[in-house]
Amino acid sequence: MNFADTVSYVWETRGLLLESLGISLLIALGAIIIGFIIGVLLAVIRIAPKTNPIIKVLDWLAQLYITIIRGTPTMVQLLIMYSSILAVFKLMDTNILVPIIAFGINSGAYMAEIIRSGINSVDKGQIEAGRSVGLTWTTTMRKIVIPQAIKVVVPTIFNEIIILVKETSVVSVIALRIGGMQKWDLLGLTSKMAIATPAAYNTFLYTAALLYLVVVLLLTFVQKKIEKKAKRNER
Amino acid sequence: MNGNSLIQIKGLYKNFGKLQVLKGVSTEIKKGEKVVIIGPSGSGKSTMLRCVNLLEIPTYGEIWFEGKLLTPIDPYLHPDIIRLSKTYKKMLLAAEDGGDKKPREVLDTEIIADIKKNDLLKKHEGGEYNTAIKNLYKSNFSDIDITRQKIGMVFQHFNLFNNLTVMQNLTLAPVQLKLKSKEQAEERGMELLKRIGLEDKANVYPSTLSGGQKQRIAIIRALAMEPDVMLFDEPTSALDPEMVGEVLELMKELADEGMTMVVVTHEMGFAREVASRIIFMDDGVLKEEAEPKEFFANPKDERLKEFLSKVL
Repeated sequence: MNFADTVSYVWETRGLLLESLGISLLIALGAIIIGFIIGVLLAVIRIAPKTNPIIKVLDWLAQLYITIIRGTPTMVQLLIMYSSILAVFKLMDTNILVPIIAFGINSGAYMAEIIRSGINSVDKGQIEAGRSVGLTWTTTMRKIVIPQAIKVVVPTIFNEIIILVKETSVVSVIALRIGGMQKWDLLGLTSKMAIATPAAYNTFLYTAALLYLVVVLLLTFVQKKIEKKAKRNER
Repeated sequence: MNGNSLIQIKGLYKNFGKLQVLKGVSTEIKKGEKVVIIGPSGSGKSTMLRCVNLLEIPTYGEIWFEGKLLTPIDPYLHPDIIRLSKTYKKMLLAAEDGGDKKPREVLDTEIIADIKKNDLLKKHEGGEYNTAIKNLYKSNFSDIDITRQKIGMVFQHFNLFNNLTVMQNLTLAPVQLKLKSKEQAEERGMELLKRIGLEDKANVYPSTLSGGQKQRIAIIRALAMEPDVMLFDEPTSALDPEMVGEVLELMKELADEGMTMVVVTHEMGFAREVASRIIFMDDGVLKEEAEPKEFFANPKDERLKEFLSKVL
């Protein structure tokens, strides 16, 4: 097979490739949503005034969570989730929830730190002004501080999303099933195909790289749009 | 308590770590008074103002607003609570058994003074004592968010909500706190904007406004809550000189309408013209208070004389 032949061979598998790309993106999207919700919750717990024991305990748990997640490799976390913590899902006909939850929990720890730094970057005077008109701490956070913090952290959050999209390639270490059929994420499929047809090995890898790159470029484009819109809101 | 007293500050102390910023400040602000607080920087005047609506929690001392205690309960200040403690009961018993023939009231006063002076209360002072503290805490301290609705505050750096339009800045609190419907709040917001001639700015974001415009909007944001008193924390210190006038003008109007005001400022002209009383603070202590005429013409405190000679 010459290079042109390998390209047309890869082209013939485009349906499978796009499906696997879809699976990668589905996992990333689910994980981002879970990660963002966890991130906001943890960030708020971490910065809440430590006035009652419940908040203190929650803060301690949040710190523990962030330490463990940031201190261990994503692949190890995924395998632990797959083999023990979420083992109930493992044998189901559709077990895509396992990587979604695992990556979501992983991303939550990083998002928490990003959002916390965003909240801390909002001028203390904003909180004081909110409290001085009689708003509670929670309302002040919800209506004034968090919207401003989110604006500040858009670039960093997108950075995290981009990392996450690429990191979903780790999912190829577990056996993924949707509706009883074995499925692969983009890298999983690529390496399977590449091994099956050694002649097209490099072409498959380049194709995968190109597809990831296209997704990341699209995300970067969206990021620019959002940043621009956020700026316009202040005019 | 005097019927028209609005704010009472009693023996106020504030420490930031080891730094003692307020060292026992006491004063009273009556309805309709315009009190101007002046003093060198670092004298504690801003801190005192911020203690009034508990943006700073005092270390010791009491703040009363409209007859309600705002400060967290300090058991040392409440003889009624001390009397419920085990330590008090033990000391009373010991004194009476020891054949002390003094009348009960004298004994009582002595023991409470002793407890306060020597910091004798322990962590475990019995259920009665703890319940009393909890109840006092509930009936007073938890009210702070509601009390703050009645205390308008204007900051040196305006602190308009950057993520909201001018109109949203004016309506957020009244609507969130369910004091007004959205329509009512917007109507009132428009009235206030017209008053300061900025009705065309209703839908812009604060970042497009000049400092003077921001501060005037910050003032009407506080007014939108229909407060009983307005606190001003150096409202013109962050402004370009040419914008100071418009802000002071608005403050004078409020004063003429009878608003109770407490103003920390370096604007001596404003103090002379608008204040009903001027307070001079230095080194965390209230050094002198007097009516403007007397204050400027006949200062008694040495430090004040020196201060005035520099700023006038």
